[in-house]
Amino acid sequence: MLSALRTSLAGQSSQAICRRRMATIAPTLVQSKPTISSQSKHTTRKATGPIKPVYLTLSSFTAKSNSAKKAVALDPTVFDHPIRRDILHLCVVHHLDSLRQGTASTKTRAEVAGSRRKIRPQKGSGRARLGDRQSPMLRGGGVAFGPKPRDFSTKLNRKVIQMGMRVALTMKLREQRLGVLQRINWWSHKTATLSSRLAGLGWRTGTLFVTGESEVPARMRLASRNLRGIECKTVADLVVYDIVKWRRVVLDLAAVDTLERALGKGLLGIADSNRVVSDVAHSSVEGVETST
Amino acid sequence: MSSVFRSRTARITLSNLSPGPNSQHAQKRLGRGQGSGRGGTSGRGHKGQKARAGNGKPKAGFEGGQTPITKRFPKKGFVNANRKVYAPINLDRIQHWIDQGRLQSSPENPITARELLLSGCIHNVHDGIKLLGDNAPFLKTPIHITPSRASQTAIKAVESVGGSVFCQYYNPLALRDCVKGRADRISAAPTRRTDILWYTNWRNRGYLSPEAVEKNPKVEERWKELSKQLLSFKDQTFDTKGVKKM
Repeated sequence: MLSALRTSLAGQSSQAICRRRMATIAPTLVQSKPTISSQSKHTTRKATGPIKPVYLTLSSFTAKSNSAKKAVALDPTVFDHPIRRDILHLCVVHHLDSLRQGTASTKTRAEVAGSRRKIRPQKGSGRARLGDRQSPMLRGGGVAFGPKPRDFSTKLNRKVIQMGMRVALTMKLREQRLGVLQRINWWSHKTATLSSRLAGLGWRTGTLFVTGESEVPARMRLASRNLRGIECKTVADLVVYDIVKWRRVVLDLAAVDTLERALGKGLLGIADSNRVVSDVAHSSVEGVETST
Repeated sequence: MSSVFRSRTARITLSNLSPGPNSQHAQKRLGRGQGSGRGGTSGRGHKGQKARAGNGKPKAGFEGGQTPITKRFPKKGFVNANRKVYAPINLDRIQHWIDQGRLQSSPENPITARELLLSGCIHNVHDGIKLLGDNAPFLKTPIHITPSRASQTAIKAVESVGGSVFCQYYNPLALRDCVKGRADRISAAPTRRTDILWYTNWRNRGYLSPEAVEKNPKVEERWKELSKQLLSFKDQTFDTKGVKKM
């Protein structure tokens, strides 16, 4: 019954490019190699055919809103991964743990300044027995089991972090909050120019730009660094936490390439030549221009 | 009804992440009041040795005075420091690897511990490789292999298909060099009597036996001299001149 519901839902959305689901109904332009599942011995699972890329609109800082849209072919093993919220939780907690300063410190009874002299005789005073003045029972004494500076960072398996990246990128694509630019570059160092263009695109707040180059281009860096709600990073500094935190993540083609190389299985063989395609149905990123 | 079957449609943000169900267990916090269920005596009961701070036991394994299980049985034997553990490798596995294309052998490039380890045929070389003959009929291709040891069945099977086996002595340093691919150092000859007798014996296909020194295409010059010297005891007699007969 569950499968019947799913197929009926799929039938409804195949009519138009549904905003809720990614449209992957385009005919395969990329010749993909047969997957391992089609050759496997697990005959109980239905064969889903060769894997196809996922298509996303290629955004642009400069293009007119009514010009023909190109699409970017993305590796589905990276951008169409099954969602695992618990893995995202692990990655985010691991990152936040690593940020902890861990400098809370208290003095134990050994470290509190004071003499070792016994305050009053063991017997005869009628009051409780006491040793030195630094006992944690007493006011002004040391802290028993108080915090000490320590390292809160934890280990998380490398492959769990990699899966977290794939889940996070998939999630962003599915929520239509992932964008791809040809190159993350800006013509001017003046912040006002970038700010107005981003406002025009609907990207003014909550956008993270990730470039695949070794450094963020200088003019982009200068123009964006004073903008609240905008950040530019290199793909080497990208973590799962950033992808979850930022409302919109905009990659450039070099970043997409690096991520697919690091996280993908390379089964589709999408190279620079067949990365950007035309006349293919594709999902889009949210923004002012695409809210038609 | 559709909400039961759909995956959660709320956007994933930092505010709605949670761990997988039952993946995290709450910490047991002792001595924090009655409501926690572990207040007061903190799960230790009342008085007695086990309720006190510190270990609560006189020493590990103490059974209250009863002879402990570690003392009931006598000690036995000794641990041999010179013990060698050879990584076994059977002929059927080698054939399977060759069929997959993961292993190749020729008289000029015989299969050594390095090839077996790197191809995944062996997971750990331990003190050397021993070639064993399980499922020997499956071996079809002639292989040329230099293990530390080989069983008689394995030797027979390999040679019947046209391959060659030469058992070479590897001390720990020599084995490490073999696995790492270092060729600048000389591998040491065997020094212990048992090793010398074993590796100069053609029955074992020992590399220092006279037949092996002749047949082995990868023979080193010093092995020829070594073989002669290590086997010279066979012709030596005691000097009986001038010794009084008892």
